[in-house]
Amino acid sequence: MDILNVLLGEHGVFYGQFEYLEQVLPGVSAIEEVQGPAGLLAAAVETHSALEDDLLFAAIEPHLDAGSPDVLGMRMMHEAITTGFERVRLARDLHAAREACVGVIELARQHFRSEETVLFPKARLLLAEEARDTLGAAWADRRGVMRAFGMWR
Amino acid sequence: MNIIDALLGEHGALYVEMDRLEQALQDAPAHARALAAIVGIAIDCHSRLEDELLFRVLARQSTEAEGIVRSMQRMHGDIADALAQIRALPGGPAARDLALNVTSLAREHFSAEEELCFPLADEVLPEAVLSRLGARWAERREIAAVRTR
Repeated sequence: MDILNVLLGEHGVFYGQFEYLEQVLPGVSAIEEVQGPAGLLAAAVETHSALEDDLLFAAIEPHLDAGSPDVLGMRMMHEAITTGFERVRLARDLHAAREACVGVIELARQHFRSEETVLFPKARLLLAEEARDTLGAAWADRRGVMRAFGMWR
Repeated sequence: MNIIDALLGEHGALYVEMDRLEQALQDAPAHARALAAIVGIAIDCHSRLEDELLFRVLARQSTEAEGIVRSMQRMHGDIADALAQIRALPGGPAARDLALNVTSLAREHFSAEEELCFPLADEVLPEAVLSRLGARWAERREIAAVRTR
């Protein structure tokens, strides 16, 4: 399985959840109902960032010029997204939690769009199909996908 | 892009969210409905995409494929029913227990897809079909730019 495709698969799940949260946030009446769902999303998005950092970005960095902004910028956005989720977790009132949640969703969406339009197409050119499949297998192992049945892809 | 890769990617994100949901439900059962809703919306959408894209095509391939798809769709129905029951509750222990049941059902279902359904689809559907379905998946999920490999 191709690492780029499975990471896009994860983006797909997150986009649907961002949209859902944006719809329900205005009607939420308890801070826990912002922080709880945002905490679940944070767990998935932050591990998604870590998988990109450790697997995909580490693989393409040697192919890029030293100091290339492509990966550096994405890593910085990962840190900003983590900070954004932390802001939701630390909020003391509903309004602050809601505002922080809207902010981190917008940031994450912008980041995913950048990856999809700039970095992933570049990675598809830089990494051979076999290398992308090897990284995909490492992703599956880390995510616990197909763990019980061995790799058939 | 291959639709099976995309759907496996969705499983990967959902596994970690279900792990975290189970922890959160123990800590805050009063908010079980809100907690379950964010994961439930993603599971419902994932099931719909499988039904409308991959399963519809796969079921036409053979009697065996049709049987496996029916079994997967029954599981989708069971999960959707449990999620609907949670939405009808105000939260609390009953919603928490139903949400825990959903994560258990969904894990079992994802495993069945990974063991039976996806390998079968990979075997019987031509690469061009899987790529075409992947492009439709990307369109439905509003992924910005997708190239076939």
